[in-house]
Amino acid sequence: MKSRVLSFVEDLRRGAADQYKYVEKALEEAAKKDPKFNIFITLKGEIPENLALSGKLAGVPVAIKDNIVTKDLRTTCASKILENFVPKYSATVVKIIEKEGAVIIGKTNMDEFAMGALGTTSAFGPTLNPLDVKLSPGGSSSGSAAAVSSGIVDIALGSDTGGSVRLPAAWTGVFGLKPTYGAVSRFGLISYADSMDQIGPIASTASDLAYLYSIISSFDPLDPTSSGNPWGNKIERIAREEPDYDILRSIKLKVPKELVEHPQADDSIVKEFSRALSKLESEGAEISEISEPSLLKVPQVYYIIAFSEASSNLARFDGVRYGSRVIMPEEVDWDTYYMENRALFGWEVKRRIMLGAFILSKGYYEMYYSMALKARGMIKSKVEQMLSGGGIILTPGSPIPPLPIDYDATDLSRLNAVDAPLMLANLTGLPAITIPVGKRGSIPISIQLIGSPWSEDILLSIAKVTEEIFG
Amino acid sequence: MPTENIELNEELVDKLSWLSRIKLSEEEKIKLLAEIKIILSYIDEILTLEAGSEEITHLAQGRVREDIKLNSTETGMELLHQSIIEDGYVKAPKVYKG
Repeated sequence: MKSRVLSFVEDLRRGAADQYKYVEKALEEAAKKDPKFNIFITLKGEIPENLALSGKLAGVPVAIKDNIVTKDLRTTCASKILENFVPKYSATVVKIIEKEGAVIIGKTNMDEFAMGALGTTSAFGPTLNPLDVKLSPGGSSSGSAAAVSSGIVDIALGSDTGGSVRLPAAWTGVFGLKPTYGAVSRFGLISYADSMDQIGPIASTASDLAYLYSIISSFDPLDPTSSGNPWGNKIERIAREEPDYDILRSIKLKVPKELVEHPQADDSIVKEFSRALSKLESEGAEISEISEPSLLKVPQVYYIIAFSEASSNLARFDGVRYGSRVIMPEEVDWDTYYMENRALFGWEVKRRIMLGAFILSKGYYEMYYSMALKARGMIKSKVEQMLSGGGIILTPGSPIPPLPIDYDATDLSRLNAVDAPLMLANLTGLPAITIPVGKRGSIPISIQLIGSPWSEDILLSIAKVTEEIFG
Repeated sequence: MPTENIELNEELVDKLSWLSRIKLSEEEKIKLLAEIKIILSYIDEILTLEAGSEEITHLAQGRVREDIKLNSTETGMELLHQSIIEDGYVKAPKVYKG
């Protein structure tokens, strides 16, 4: 499908479009749909004056996840502790898209501090799935995915630490990309687990996804883990050009059977996944099954590392320099002040910080944290073997349908089937994409591809072809 | 499994609350204790993995900026809201008890 964003920008450049029209429509849609689905934490009410006429995103409305800082626009991380926090600077990705003329229409709802898979841990209430309000839209970038799925915007930014772009994209029927670690600047992204956090695009078409990605992937001296863009303008060309079917004949898709034949996987989703594989095969893709039982332990490794990093990263929220204050500093000593303020965190955040403190404490560091880092090394080298010789890992985007919005996620083991394929890309720093391939009633079906480092050009090319095949 | 050998009790919860500097209500303490048991029994599953010896803490080599002064803020105070600043200092609670 042609990129709606590109079409608008080209029309605008030729003088065939009104620069206010796209944003106006987005705000009208947001006013109608936000009350239904609770998509935004902060929604801009008015169209800014003097919108740009040129720039790669001139006049294009964009929704931004509320853990990406925006100068003079409230950024809450969906937490009471940052309820009134208005940053004095913008994240690099925000600066880049604004320089290209994009208009940020609002900050989207999310799981608090990006901790959650269902979009339900927000202090501002859960986001509902636009495809069916009884279902979770997936998290943690729940609002960004819902903003795209409901048709408010065509492109949005989310962040992905353990599947947080790809799961909500899969559960709301849109496209989501988790870039190679280092491809997109994290400067201005409020950290959860920084060795795995990545900002990623969500879009209504593969072309829009590629186009936004071509703009935000670049080297940033403000992020020491930033590596830059090795593709030149190739990704933008992919966005602009027709799908290249030859890409399917040049790759080897490998399906880890443990992630498909998972005891928690839903039979009807697995059937749809198999049907999608047959269709790809008939178009020339080479698909083979592989086996690696250790992949089922990916979520456990992920949680140990994520909890540990979270307990360190979130130590900065003390209510002294920024954030809400429940008592005044004159009234109490430092420890009491710190503890009282941090009681503002929601339950999911509290328990992850405290479990991280436990894992890193004397006696348990070696047993859990050190062991998880070694397991990460082992999994990374096994995945590198799978990807050697042009291999790409193929899994369901989600092997289960979206869960009910009131699902109790206390027991993380119950989400193992969903977490394992997604978290694999975060643990290893690899790029991964979720691509919609149809629906069963209101239930969206998707596939996920995980590629070698810096293979986003291949993943996005496959996404374009897949979109046309299943369109 | 190792979780069986860990004393999961109120004392541990109090210690974690203190280490994390997060005040918990009595109700939350009971809830945390129950949930720690569930989560630890899950993450314990990695202890049987043959994990090798290479620890991976980061995924990017990283680049360090030139050690030269750029147009950054002088003290970082410019990034803070004026409401918490008094006479050029951030107003914070006392760090000693007494």
